[in-house]
Amino acid sequence: MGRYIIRRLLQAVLTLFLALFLLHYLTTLSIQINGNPAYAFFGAQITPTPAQLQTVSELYHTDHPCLTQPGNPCFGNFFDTMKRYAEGDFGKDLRFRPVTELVAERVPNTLRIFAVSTTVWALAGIGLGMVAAMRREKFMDYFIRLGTIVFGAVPIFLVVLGLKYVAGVWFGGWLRENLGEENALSIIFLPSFDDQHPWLTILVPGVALSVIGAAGIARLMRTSMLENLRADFVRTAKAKGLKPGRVMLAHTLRNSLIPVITLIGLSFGGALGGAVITEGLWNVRGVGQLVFNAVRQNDTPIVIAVVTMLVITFLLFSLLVDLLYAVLDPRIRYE
Amino acid sequence: MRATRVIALAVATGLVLSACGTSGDSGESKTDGTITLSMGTDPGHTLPPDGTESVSSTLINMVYDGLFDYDTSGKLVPVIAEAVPTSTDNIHWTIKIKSGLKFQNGEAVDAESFVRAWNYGAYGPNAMGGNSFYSRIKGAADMVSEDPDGPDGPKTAPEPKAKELTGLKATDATTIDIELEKAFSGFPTMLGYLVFFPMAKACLDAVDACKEKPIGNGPFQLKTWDKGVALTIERWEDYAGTKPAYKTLTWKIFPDGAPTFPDFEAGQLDMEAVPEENYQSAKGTYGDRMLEVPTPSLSYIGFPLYDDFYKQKEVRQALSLAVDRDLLNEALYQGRYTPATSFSPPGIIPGAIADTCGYCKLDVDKAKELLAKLPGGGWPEGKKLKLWINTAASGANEKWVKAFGDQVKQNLGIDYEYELVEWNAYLAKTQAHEVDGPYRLGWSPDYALIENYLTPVWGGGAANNRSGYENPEFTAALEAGDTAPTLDEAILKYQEAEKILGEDMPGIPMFYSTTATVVGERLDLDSVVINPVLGGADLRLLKLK
Amino acid sequence: MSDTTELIRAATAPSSPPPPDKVRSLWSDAFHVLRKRPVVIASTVIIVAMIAIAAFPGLFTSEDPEDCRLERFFGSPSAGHWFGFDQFGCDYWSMTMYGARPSIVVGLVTTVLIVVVGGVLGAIAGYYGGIWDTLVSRVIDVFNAIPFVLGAILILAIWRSAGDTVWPTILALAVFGWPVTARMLRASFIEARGLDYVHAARSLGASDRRLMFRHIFPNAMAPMMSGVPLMIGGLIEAEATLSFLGLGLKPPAVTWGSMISNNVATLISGHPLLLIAPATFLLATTISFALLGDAIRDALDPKLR
Repeated sequence: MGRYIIRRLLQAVLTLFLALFLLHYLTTLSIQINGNPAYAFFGAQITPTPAQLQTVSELYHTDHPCLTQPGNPCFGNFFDTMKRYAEGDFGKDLRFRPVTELVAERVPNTLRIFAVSTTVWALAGIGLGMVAAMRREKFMDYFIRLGTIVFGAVPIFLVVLGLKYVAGVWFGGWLRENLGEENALSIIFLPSFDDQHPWLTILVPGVALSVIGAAGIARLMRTSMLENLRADFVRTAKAKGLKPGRVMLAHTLRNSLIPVITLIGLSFGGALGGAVITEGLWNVRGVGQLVFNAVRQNDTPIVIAVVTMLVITFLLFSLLVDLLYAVLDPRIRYE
Repeated sequence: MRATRVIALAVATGLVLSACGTSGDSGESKTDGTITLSMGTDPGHTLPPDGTESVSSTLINMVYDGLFDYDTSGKLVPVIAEAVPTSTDNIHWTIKIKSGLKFQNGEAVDAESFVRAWNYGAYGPNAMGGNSFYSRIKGAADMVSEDPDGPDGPKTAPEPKAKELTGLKATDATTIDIELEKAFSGFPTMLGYLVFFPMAKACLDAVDACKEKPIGNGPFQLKTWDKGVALTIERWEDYAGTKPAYKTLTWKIFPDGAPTFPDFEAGQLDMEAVPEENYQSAKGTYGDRMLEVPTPSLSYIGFPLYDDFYKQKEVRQALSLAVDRDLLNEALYQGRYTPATSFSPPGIIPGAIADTCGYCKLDVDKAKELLAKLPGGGWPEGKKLKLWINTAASGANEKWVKAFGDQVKQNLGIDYEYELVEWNAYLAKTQAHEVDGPYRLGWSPDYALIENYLTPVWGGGAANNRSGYENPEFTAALEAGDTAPTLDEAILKYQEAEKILGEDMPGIPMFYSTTATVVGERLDLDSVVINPVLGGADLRLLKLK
Repeated sequence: MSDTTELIRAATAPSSPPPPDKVRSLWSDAFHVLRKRPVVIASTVIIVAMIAIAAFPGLFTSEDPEDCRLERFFGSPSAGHWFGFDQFGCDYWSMTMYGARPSIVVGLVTTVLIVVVGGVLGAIAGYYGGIWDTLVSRVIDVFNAIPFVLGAILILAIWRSAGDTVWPTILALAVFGWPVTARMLRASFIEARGLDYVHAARSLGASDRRLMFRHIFPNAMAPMMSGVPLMIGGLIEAEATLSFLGLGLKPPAVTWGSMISNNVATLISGHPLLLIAPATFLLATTISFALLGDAIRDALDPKLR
């Protein structure tokens, strides 16, 4: 056990180091090829004097000479960057706001949208998958599978833009006219996020985001159910004369959920990609929107900083999960 | 100006003047009401010498008062200054200011408060965006220093020689004495621009705090600022000037790319810029509550005059003649924009007149004639027209450049290609004269004078402008304008200078954009006065119904 | 997401693959089932048509998509111009035809790259184990730590000015796409390594290469191959999303994704066909791939038959 933990820790450190180096190298190449981000600070109408450029370059840490030599991996710079990361300094955006601060104030909304989308997605996926499995090869089965696949194949930006008009302007407009502006339903169907009602106004984009993975989870649930319905322990339970409802709930459903829950855990990475679009278009002040804006404003260092922070979080999280497993699960022996 | 300024160009100045109102405050009387506007991003440069970018300038213009303001025709109106100053030699200027005015922290607005702000802005290491605007004042050159081995080299720039402008003095509490490097008759006009606003001593003593909570002298003071969400300013009850007719103004932050118009249509907003795609339907739906105002934002194509091929005047003239600006305006902008026939926007900026450009109309025959004069008897066989554009995510700029290329292809049979460059590199490359084809850019005025469209863009000699344009006649004409005894005479000289541009065609002026703004039911339509020079509605004048 | 599903299935539901001599019959069985299903027939027809359009757009239109005449802006559909003209006066039907190529190429080439790179690395790690496994697994970990779409956004934000080729998009998607396949194949190989028929073949003196390619690969392929159509559809969708963010192909290149994102607004401004046309083609393609993939997976899954 001890050896496993040490090995896993070393592994995590190595992976983290390599991943950070990869990101560092991408940043370096970006500056070497695209030029000093300090220029974006001044814009087209101001011609910065060399001194001004120097000042801004220092603030962004883009003043290192190796950043002018394409292909140079800039190891020296890498260690400086790591030192800054260790001190919690992930750089600043074009308006001099620390990225850590930007991310910190945005995490709650991203967690909110994830909470909504994961709930909707998991419940809908599990429910639909169950129905499909129980109605196997019947109309409902085909209908659900076709429906989830078709929805899953629509690019997320079309879904969000469509909802903005259909749910936000047309349906929401009708609600506001008939129920009044302050009615909870009217607020839910506003066309963009409102900081005064963070939970209500995040429901619609949350549902939009959940569309991405619904097909996958419904399918997995269906397969898993079908396998379990035929499993020996279910047959035994039936043979023992247990009520069908109890068999379904206590045996089949519970066992079918195991892979589904693993999938939910693994899907956050994918959901983050969707969150970039959803938060960006719904004006939700979340981490995804930060990336959306940075992409639109050519603030590449921000994109890199945010991804770096996510990578670190992800690796720490998976390390923690693995260690917990090692401690908690008696079946796992790693010696 | 800053990146955002140019991005804002794409959506025109609309984002700034777009406004929206929440409806939860119907119980308050209208003078205590709240107006809610939208803003494209958090203001990032809230010190006046730094506020050259559009979002920050919107805030600064509400929180600070300057020496002068511009009226809707671009004329200078004294605010803190007693009167528009005159000068016998156009080098020495004396400005008297009103006494008894205060900053919001109680400090006096005196001559010293201007001197300290300008010195701060002119000092290179402070990296203020408006730094170049002080360069006409004597001693400005000593306030910035050159980096010995360029910005990318290991050495840092030495400390500048001086920390104060030698040409700037507060002789007493209400008198500012200014000496310029060279004569400039348009100098007072510059002083209406916000980089010449005053700053309190307390602000400079704690600059970082002052960026977060400006210490202004204007009708509003900052109340709350929740970054990325909303920025609220409140009427300053001790303001000595005309008090605004409403109490609170909240800007909701809608980052560029997040649609805002649905929020207006959903009744959440009172005033909003109309995106192009909504223009037709908005026109029908809102009728006279939709205001259309031309802006002074020029979109143009610049030529690399340091390139041997584009050094040939005929090439530049022919390309300009190949474009049907009216058709482009119809196809892309529903005919709302103003096709450019000059290098500065007539009717908006004082001194600017139409038809200074002899080649800003469609004349395919003449274009072909001009091309035939080239050494090879025409456009070189197989040479593609390489158009440089920056990768703007919004695509608004790519759009008209594509239409430009299509027109050249259709009318002159010249194939075109794009050279797409990331924004940072684009700015750096155009500045360093590294582009080898026509490039796209825009220009918005900083102060209301035709000169602002000439000197910063095309003047100063080949090394100082992006095109590398240099014509002694042009330089002389500008010089003559700068040193002319009166502004009216100066303007005549500037117009002559512009006509030289119109013959030389160092760039192709394309169009001036127009914004459309819809005003919601809560606002008094008559109170929405759009000031084209400021680039939007004068928010101080808004009234609730 | 569907890739993740595969991963889970490979990791959590170890199946007992049929003996090698039945492999062929598994595939032919599947084919037998599939060819009778209307969904399969319909999606295959659509996919074949789209690939034909992508390969030879010139056969489907005589117009040049880059011949744009501004005076025809927003022109209505007519006999020679079925979809009318866009804002620049370019023939929209021909743009739709030529726009198929980048979308389909991104989908197909990226999938090939992912399958080859992920497959080979996964096979090596799974078969040889030891140091190879450790090495490949670490690399997988590194790339896996960066979320797929975010990783692609990052790379394309950096290489934004790469011009009008599909390669940056393909590379960006492939670089962060292969680890899932590699993991899946690694799991399949580890599983197969311990099976009786592999032991038997080895004791008969089969070489490593022969073992890998003749015996293990065909079995390990099934779960991977059934994921391919889904992957293609997903990648075409991802390309459209990246185009929407302004990170896809650059003009003057035309893709369905960029046509959609450039014309999203026309739904409101009164030229809805400019959005509907490319969206229909894009959705028809991604949905067909998804339906076909789903059907193949059903047919190949021995446990569900």
